[in-house]
Amino acid sequence: MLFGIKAQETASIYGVVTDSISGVTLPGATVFIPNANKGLATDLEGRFDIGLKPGNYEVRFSYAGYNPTTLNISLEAGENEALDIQLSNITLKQVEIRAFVSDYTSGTAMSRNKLDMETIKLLPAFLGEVDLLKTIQLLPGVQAAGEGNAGFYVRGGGPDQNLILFDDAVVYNASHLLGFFSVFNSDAIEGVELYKGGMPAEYGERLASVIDVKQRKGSKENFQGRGGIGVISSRLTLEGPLVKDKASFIVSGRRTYIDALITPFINEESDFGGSQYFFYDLNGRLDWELGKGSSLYISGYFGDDAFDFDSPQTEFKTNVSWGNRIISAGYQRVFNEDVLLNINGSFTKYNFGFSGSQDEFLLQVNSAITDYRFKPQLSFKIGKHLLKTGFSYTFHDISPNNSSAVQGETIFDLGEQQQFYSHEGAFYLSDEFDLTDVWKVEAGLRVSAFAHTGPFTRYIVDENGSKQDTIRYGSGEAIADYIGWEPRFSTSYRFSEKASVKVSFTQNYQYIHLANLSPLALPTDVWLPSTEIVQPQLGRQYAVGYFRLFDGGNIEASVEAYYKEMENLIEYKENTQPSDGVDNNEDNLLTFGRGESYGIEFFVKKNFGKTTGWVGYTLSRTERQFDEINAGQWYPATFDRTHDISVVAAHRLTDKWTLSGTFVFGTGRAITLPVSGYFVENTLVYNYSERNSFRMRDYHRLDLSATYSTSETKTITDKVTGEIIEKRKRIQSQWVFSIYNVYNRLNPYFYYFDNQGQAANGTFQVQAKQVSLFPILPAITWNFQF
Amino acid sequence: MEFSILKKLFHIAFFGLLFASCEKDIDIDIPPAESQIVVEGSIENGRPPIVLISTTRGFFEPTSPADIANSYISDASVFVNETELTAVCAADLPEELLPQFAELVGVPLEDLDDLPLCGYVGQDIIGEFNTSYKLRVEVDNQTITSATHIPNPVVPDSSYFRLWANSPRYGYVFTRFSDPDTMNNAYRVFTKRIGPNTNDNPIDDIYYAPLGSTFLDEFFNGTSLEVGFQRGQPFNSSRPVDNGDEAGFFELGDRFVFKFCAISEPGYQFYRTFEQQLGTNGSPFAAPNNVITNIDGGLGVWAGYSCVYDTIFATP
Repeated sequence: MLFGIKAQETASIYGVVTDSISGVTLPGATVFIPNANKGLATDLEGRFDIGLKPGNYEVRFSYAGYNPTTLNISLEAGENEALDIQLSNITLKQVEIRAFVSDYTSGTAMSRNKLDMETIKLLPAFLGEVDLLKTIQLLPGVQAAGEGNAGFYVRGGGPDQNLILFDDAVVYNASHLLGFFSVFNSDAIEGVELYKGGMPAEYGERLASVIDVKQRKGSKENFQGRGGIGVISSRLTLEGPLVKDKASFIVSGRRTYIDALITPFINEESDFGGSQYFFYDLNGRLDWELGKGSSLYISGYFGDDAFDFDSPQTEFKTNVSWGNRIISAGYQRVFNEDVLLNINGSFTKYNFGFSGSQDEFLLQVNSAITDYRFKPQLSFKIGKHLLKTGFSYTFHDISPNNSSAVQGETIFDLGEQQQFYSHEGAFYLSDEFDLTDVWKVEAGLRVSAFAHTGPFTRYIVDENGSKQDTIRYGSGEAIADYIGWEPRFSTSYRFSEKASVKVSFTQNYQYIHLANLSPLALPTDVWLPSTEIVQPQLGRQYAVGYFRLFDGGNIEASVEAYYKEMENLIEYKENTQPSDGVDNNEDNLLTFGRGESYGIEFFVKKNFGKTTGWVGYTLSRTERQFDEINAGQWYPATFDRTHDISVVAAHRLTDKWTLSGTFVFGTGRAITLPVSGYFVENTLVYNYSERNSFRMRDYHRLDLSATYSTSETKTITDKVTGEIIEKRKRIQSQWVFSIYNVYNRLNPYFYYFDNQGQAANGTFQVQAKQVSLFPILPAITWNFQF
Repeated sequence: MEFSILKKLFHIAFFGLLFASCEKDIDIDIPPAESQIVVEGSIENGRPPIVLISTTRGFFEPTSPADIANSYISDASVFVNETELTAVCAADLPEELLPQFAELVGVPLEDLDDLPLCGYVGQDIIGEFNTSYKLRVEVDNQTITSATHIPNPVVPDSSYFRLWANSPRYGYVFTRFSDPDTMNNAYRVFTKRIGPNTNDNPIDDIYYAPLGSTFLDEFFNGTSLEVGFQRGQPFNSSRPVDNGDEAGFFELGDRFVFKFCAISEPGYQFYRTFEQQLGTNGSPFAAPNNVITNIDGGLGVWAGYSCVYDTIFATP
């Protein structure tokens, strides 16, 4: 919360907290005023603003890894004091920070988590790769989809119901290699804010969550770099001032070399001989202070995954590639402590391409989604009300699954290329205010609208999928439009500075949907807009929570319960094949239904001291009902997980060594298994049961890591005075030793039934099999900074 | 059909997973499911209808040949266009009729001894082009019905063997045909290696449909095209010639029959999803789906075929 002024508080302090050497802003730093009983954490830009009654105060600033600072200030009525706070990084001393009260209990914010990269980097990482999205999945209410699965689920919502923003631009596929790594290079990220519920009116577009990721700003003071060399990939980030104290840049790159590592191990003669895979990321940002409270930024992300297979035995070749191109630019103006303007425009393109050929046959499938987006927002105070208003507009250009195929001279008629054009917009207004000293309210209304326009060709098909009629719409012609009212409400009642209860309600519409053929999220999954066949998804979430601080704010604890109902969810009809979409509209293959999720989340977090970390436990249920699936019966969603536990801990053993570990436990994934079989042409046919009526074995895993930080200074003799002094080393480095899946549990990835032999000669038998992905995997990474 | 390329994609594209993956046998507790009647029936031009009736089985029930043979029902009443079919059991047939019965029921002759099936044969009905056939089965106090028809024939312009991908010995069968200009023409192909041959390859007792045998004209309606097919082989075959490098290939010197059929639309839906299930079993990327049946009150298929046979000698 940036601004907060109560009645009779006619003074305030505001400003930014930064690193004293690099000038980089510090998000989540704690600002506490004991004799006003007030405190908060700085926002993602490192900013704070606290309303106070006139008087004398001691203001304490602190941040993990930095020396705290205390200021004594004196405020008169109507005075708004600007403070520029610089905290110095702790070098040789142990971390022993105590700070009190954030807005954990005092704000209305609930169902929200903020993570900074310092915390994320301490945790053991898969193959040594620190990953932002993987860490989010350790929070209660957020469930990892499992190994080899790109999606994640928030409070029972599907993988397409999470809005992932990178510097305010939308990211459609945030995973490399089926979710093993996210597209976010940890060195380039400032922090992330996750909204699971109680969504403020300025956010919308997706039912389940918003993950707001901000890229780091380059240092305006001096040129720096950091990077790492790991088992799977390496990365490098360079940053520095373009104009000292005014403008800065940051550029980060990462590339994997899995292809070089694995190729020697693949037998050329085997099925996999001739395989190649790689991914890369490149992101950057320019920031410019224009003066008089104005600033400008431009940010970009480019990344690709590519897989190539060229069989040495047959003439079969395939290439699969997918990638994101994102550019975002923004302007911010702080008019005064009461008024803040933010304007953002962005361009996002996600595309997926597949080509496969054998002899003279070539098949190509491409899908893409391109967004042009514009979003201005104004925040201002009127009396005791903090108001935010703004709008957002996005133009979507979507081409799902466009295919072409040739066999020698025969060109297959695959119909026209599909293209969907649509416009999405929303206008919102929210108000945050104190009803009383201890009762805070945030109410808002978001009104969203969506239109699908031409040019477009609609194929009318019968129940067998045969084309009956074709309707052609001209450019700009209206085909379908929707308008949705999205009221938002949250309130908190504070019993004391240590405890509060919060209640929230969120209603939202989602106009862009992901249709996936398999139970797992794949890059082949197709994004589709709402059309006259696909209605917007509607979600309503009710949440209530109790929040408590212990040990002077060192320990945060909460219990939160939620209930969600969802309508107009989409799935492919049963028995749909990828080729059914050819010469057809993709949305003709879909069927629609509803869902319900409810659960209770327990969370305890220790913020400071030698040992920090958190424990999260979620007990939940999420179900779906589609008339055309599972004979219309309710069934558990694929990602329904009754119990979900995460334990995360980091311990600073010595100045140089930090140990950390994570333990996760989840109820096994719901799957559909055959319950009986029969023979046709002497071949076994499986007869499947009700959807998702079986559970695989539970998933649990322990990861450990140890980080060794080399000394940050070295001892040298001053050539002039002869004194022995400590000088900061030019390059700081760390070695990270990690073990993924320490006790080598073979967690199930999926089950299937294998059959061998033939009925006639008595050798026939069916055996259930479990496929697991990752056994114990150690890794070493070397990270450096200069 | 080459769209099986998509299946291949899912099978091999994500090698990274398979490279790092482990597989193990597990025990799963599956509660017993209600038993259902299964019909496997077909009628072809110039031949009598043949219907097999069986029941579904739990996976972990005993699987000796006798147990499996016991799941076939011999006391049902089966009618095609209201003419009753005759129950014929392999165990009761004279030896000279067994090869014909084997081909009719789709079980190799050598297996019939151990798997003595019973089938229902229409001795007074012979399939004709462009004719509909209704099926009615009375079994276990249930009435099960279905309908199919034999489409008009589509005769390939030519079918031949062709060596594949620089191999000096192995290849596939190719056929060139013209699809009629009407919508939803479906096809199914079969192969059968016969003697004499010059390479000692074992001959097949019955026809086998290769993977990708079933396809629809949705992408080539009204055009002529050339398509290649693998050699069909028995399910889970243990014959050396069906495993290893030779699997799915014909060899120079083979003599084989290529059976090219137009199939009724319900038959197409069944066999398309049947092959889809076969091709994706074991893949995590495909949703498990039941095979589409056209049997009302049961599972399985009642299909109509109009077929053309071509004997081919594999030469370079």
